[in-house]
Amino acid sequence: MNWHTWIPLFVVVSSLLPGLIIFGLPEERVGLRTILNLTGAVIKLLLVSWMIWGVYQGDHFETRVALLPDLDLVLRAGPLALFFVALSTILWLVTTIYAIGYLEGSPNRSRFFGFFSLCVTATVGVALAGNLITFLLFYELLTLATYPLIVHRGTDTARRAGQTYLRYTIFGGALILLGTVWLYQLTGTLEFTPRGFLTHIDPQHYPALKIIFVLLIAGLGVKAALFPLHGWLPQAMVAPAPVSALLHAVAVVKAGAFGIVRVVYDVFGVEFSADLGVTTPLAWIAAFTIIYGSLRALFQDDLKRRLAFSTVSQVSYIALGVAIAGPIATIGGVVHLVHQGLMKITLFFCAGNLAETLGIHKVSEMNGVGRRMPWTMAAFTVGALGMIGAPPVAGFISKWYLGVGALEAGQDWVLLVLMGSSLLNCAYFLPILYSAWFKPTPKSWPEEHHFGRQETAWALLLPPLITALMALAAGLMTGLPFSPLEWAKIIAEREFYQP
Amino acid sequence: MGGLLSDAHWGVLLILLPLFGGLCSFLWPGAVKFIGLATVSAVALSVVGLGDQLLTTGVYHHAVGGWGAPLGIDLYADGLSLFMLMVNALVGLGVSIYALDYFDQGEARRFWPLWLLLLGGLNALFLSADIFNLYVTLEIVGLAGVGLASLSRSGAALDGAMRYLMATLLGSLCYLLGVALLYHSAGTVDIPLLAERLESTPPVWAALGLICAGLALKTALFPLHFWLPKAHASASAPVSALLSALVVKASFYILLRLWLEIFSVRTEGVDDLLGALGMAAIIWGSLQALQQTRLKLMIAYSTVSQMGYLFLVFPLAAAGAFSAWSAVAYLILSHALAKSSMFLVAGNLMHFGGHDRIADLDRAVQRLPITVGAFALAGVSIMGLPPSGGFIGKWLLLNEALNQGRWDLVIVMMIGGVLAAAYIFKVLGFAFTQAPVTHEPKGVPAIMEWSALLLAVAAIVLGFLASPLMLILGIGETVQLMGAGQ
Amino acid sequence: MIDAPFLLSIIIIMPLLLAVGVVVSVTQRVAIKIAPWAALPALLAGLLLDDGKLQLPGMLINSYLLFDHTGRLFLLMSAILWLATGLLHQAHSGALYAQQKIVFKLLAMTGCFFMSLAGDVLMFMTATTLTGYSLYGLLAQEKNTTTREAVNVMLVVLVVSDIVLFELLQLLGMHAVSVDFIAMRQAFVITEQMNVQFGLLLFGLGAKIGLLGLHFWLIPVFITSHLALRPALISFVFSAGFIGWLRLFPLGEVHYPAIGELLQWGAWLMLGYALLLGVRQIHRRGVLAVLLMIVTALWLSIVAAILIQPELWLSLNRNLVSAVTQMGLVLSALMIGQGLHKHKPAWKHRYALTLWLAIFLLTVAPISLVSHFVSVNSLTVASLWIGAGLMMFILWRTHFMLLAAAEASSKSGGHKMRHTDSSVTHYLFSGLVLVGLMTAVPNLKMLSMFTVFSLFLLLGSMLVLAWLTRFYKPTEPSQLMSGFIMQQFKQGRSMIMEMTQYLDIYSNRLQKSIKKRFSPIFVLSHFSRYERSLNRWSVALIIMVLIGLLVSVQGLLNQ
Repeated sequence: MNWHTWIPLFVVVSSLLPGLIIFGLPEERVGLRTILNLTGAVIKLLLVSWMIWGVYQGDHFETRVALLPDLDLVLRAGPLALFFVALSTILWLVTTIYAIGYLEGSPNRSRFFGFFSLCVTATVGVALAGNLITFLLFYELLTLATYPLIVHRGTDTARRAGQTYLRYTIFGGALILLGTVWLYQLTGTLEFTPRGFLTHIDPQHYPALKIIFVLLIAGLGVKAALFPLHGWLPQAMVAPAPVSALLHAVAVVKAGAFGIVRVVYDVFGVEFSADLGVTTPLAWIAAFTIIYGSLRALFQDDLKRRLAFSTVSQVSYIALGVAIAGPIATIGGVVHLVHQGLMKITLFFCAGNLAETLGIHKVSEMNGVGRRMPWTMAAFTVGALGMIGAPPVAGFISKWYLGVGALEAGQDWVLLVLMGSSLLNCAYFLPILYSAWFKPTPKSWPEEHHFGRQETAWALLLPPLITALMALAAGLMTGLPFSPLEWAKIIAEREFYQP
Repeated sequence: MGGLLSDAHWGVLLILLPLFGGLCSFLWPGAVKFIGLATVSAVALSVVGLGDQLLTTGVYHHAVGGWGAPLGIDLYADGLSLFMLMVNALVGLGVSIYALDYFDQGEARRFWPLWLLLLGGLNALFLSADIFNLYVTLEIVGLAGVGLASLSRSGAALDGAMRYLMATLLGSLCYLLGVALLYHSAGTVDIPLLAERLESTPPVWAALGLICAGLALKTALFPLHFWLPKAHASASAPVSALLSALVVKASFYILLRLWLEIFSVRTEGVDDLLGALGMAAIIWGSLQALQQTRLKLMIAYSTVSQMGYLFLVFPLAAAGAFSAWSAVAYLILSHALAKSSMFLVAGNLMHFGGHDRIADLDRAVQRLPITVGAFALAGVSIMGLPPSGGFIGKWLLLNEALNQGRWDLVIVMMIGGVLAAAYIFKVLGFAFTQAPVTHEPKGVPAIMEWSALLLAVAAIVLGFLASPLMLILGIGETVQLMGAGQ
Repeated sequence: MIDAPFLLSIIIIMPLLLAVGVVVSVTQRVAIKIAPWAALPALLAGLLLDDGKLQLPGMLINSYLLFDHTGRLFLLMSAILWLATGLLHQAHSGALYAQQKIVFKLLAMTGCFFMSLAGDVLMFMTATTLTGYSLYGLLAQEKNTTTREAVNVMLVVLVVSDIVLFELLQLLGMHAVSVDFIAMRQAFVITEQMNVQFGLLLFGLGAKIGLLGLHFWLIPVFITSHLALRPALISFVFSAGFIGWLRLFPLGEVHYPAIGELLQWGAWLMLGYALLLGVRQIHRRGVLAVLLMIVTALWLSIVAAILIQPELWLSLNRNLVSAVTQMGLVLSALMIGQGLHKHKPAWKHRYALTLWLAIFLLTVAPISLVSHFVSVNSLTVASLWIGAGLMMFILWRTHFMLLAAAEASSKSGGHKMRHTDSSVTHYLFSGLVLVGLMTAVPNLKMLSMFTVFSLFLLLGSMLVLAWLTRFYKPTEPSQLMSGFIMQQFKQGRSMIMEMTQYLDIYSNRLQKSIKKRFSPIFVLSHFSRYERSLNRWSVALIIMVLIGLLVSVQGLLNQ
């Protein structure tokens, strides 16, 4: 039995199986549940690193299962797929540790961790999907797996947030289904091929292809929180911190952005979509979302809502990088997929820590937090500086490549957008840092929990530090062979711009 | 053993077994549960046998009692009828297991004979090759259904059953008139012979009108759906599951069979009319389902809406015959499994909480996780979200509609999917709320929960079995006759 | 001289290790003790190491540390100034002071060394941001609100200038083959939109060295900064500002007379404005901020001259760098030393002598460059002489005003300096001036007898002029920051806040109205009426008959 055909399936199953078992576990079996979670994560990490090493050597990993007589489910581990799978696997491991610490003693955790593993299975499926139908399957599974996590608390606001989330995502899913069927009907195939499979379509179908592009991008834009479709993200912040950390920084939002990258590069082909003239409107929408997200973030007093709007603006960098049809901009857009994930998850972890240890939810309550929780705020600072694009941290590399790529593609206006967005990022992150480090600490915190000598529980403190260090290393050590930037270059040259 | 299997008359067995089982359960009420279960599993085995026989020898043809076509009754089984028999067997098995623990001794004595009679009638209906035999089996199925509907003897149940009786009799009466007219103009009732002899004369058109109206009423197509919600909602859970999943499909099967073999060549306007009514049914059914406050009524209206999907086959049947009706057959199977699972879930919740008001479903997730899980999985199939059988059916139908450029069908299917998601997640939303536990609930036996889950999981697994099932659907000459689409 | 470039990395690693040491509680005590001497390895390296290049494999995008003449001089300057900061910190605020301050101090120090050693653009940007933010961390520790406000304005200016610089680098990055300085300089020459890029460079680097229009943060920060932080501030301002010019801008390779002329007039304008500010400024450190503006003005006029005659650059390069470092050292000495005479009457004469020497060194620096331009560009020579004269005049005037104020206050009992032991400050003051003298030696050799004579003539006249105007006091004391700028800043911020606040409120209201109007219940209530009518038997029968008729009529129609 040739291993290469079954590893992608094992990667998907390695989080599905623990998830299903955990569903059955009674509430008090904490030890077993943790072991299951962690073994699942570690196995997945090993498999993924084996595949990364394989793909680096040029091997080929693909699992093919017949779905319909002439359409089958394909899981293929290309460079781009592994890029996203590696990100979600590492961050799943870190977030599981965090969630175990965060949900200590809260009700129905079996259900939470069950759906948590299902959600990661869906994300890995989205990443490894080899054709549009498999992508759609895991994309919808992601919606179904994340809904219970958003309404996990069971409060009325959670239910309403869940409803808005569904209203957007189900609508998006319907659009993508329509686009996929129509594309299948026009072209007869849905396989992701490196420079798109639409070049041989005769021109009289071009208006139809344009509408299909709009349908697919609108469907994906819902999860990637492009401007008109971003309404659900800030409201979904009612979910517990690990959910908003993994989902809204890595899994759900990134699935949308990753989908856009797949559609533009592997379905339409970037040159073909540029001739079709659909990438410029996408660039405009992405640019507008960047500015709109930052502007809205300026005024959210609730910390997680501010981070949510910042996610809305930052994810559109990826869409912008993709929409500027140039190799360097692609590298910038794709590498931001990982960088934004690392930085944003650190910020959400710290927000979770503040909420859990000191009961702080508002930015106005954060005066002098730096003294009470120095390590958490240090991680938050690294994340925030990264978001602004301050050099040592990872954010500035993707901004550098986006800027240079935009100029090289002749789209100078993008530089102004990037500049404006950096300024706005400073405008809503620096006041937080200022009030945290330099303002006097208040007499008492809203609801303070003491954890002996260190500022908070180990399980809560370690994850943000790890991700902050990873963000710093991704920024500082970009020259190393397996750094996100080098891998993005491999993606760009192997997958998108084959000679 | 292989020899015995291949030439035994499975068709005859499929009809006799349930009737015999029903008789025995009527005579020995003590062992009614054992007999019922044994019969249903035997039926399931024989369906497998028949399937194996069809796969090896092609279409199954048997003249009952040795008399030929024009006089005697023929049994006929091809891909479509085998598929429908499979639906009967699967849903029957699931519901029977559920019913073991659902009914107390008194009701069980009356449930099993009626249910096995219904099963026998359904099997006979899917195997009969002439239109009069179809009428006879239709009548058996209708009356057995009414009997089952009135089982729980509550006021609402009796009112619903009466309304259901009236509608069924009216429908089959119209159908009988249509059969009489056809017999008058063609001199035979056998379907293949009819197909050759019929030409478009006024009596044939009158027969077509009557048959369409009668069967539309029995399938509760949109304007004539008034009897379905009350009948299905007020009946007890396993009965409403059977009514929604199997009985309603039987009359549709007859309309589809007649349409594919006799009428399709000579009807231009009528298929668009049925298609339009189908589309209206999808939208109307979903909107009504959104408004309901009680769970069983909502599921009943969802049936009305899902039946609308089935009627979309008629506008498409003319050009792409096989791919159109294979999609609808797939939808029938996935809808049957999902809808029966939903009704069983509703039964569990009624059994547990004493009420099925959606707004007060709070905390159901913590207390009945398996039941709510079953509802969620069934909902996924009803909505047509990817991992499920419903999705495959919807995908095939969409593909066929796009092939023929029928944009109106595509848009309506999309809206139908979104509305279905709306009313299903409305229920799921309330399952997570945290309202305090007020009354002391009655425990739900494990079998009832697990049988609902099994049916729902079957609906999801159906999503991955598309290619083998399409093979089964391909058996039988109905394909060659109108195989133009393939 | 040791030729071992890998030692360069020790300069940066040492402070970082100490910073980690301070943070980790186990090694905190030891680390705090060593912290003030963290700048020693940099000083030694600056003195002993040969020029060289250290390739950092994994770091950023193929970046490397470059150690050449400019790097060496700026490294020495930063090392000395940071050593002074360390010693002052320890002397003035006792043994153990806030752990946070030390960490910020060490990070800023690393940033400054990085700046002088950075071989490529991204490394330089990293260093500038690191120093900027950690210096802000240090300065923002003050308690009173005016300092906080001034320092906040500084941060805003720094951040904006960093972003502008980042955009400029991206503009160059498109044409440059790689990210190191040489390639960037070639890119500067290739691109055709020279004026756009020069404008961005002027804004990006000028903001740090008090270019006219971006200078409003300079005076308040100089005045309110803590004694120990002043040398660090000067080191940051000089490194971030001047290294950027020397490394990034292709001096001597680009010939743009048009921009040169414009720049020359800009320099004149700055000198005039500096005179106006210098006269009205009464605070002794505020005056030094004005001096920095004069230095910037001189720098711009020299750059203008080189833009007009690029060939001047080859000879001028080494002298210009040593002149700049010399001015930096002397300025920081004045920052510490000015006004020390009040506290140690015994050292009055030594203080006076050092002050004279400092003023002489500060003014001789620009004059020593005059010899390059004598026959070539009279305008630059004139601006250099006027600049030196202005500096002398302002310094003397403040000195005499302080003497007058000292006499007045000595009658009324005088006030003691807050810190008891000012001897350390004294030694550092004279030490820095001496180091300034050492760096000035190569330039002094260039002076011709005539220029020395005219220099002393100028010194005497400025002395007399200052003596005459010592009693002229500006009517109302100039506030910390010219009020007009602050109002503009506040109004601008509140206007932006309101505009975007309105956007926030409007989108929330929009969402609510959409939810209310299109909520499903509202739409569906219509349908229930029809549903009830459909449930009646009569209606059902009519519909059935209708369908039957329709179907049969259909058949007849298409006979």
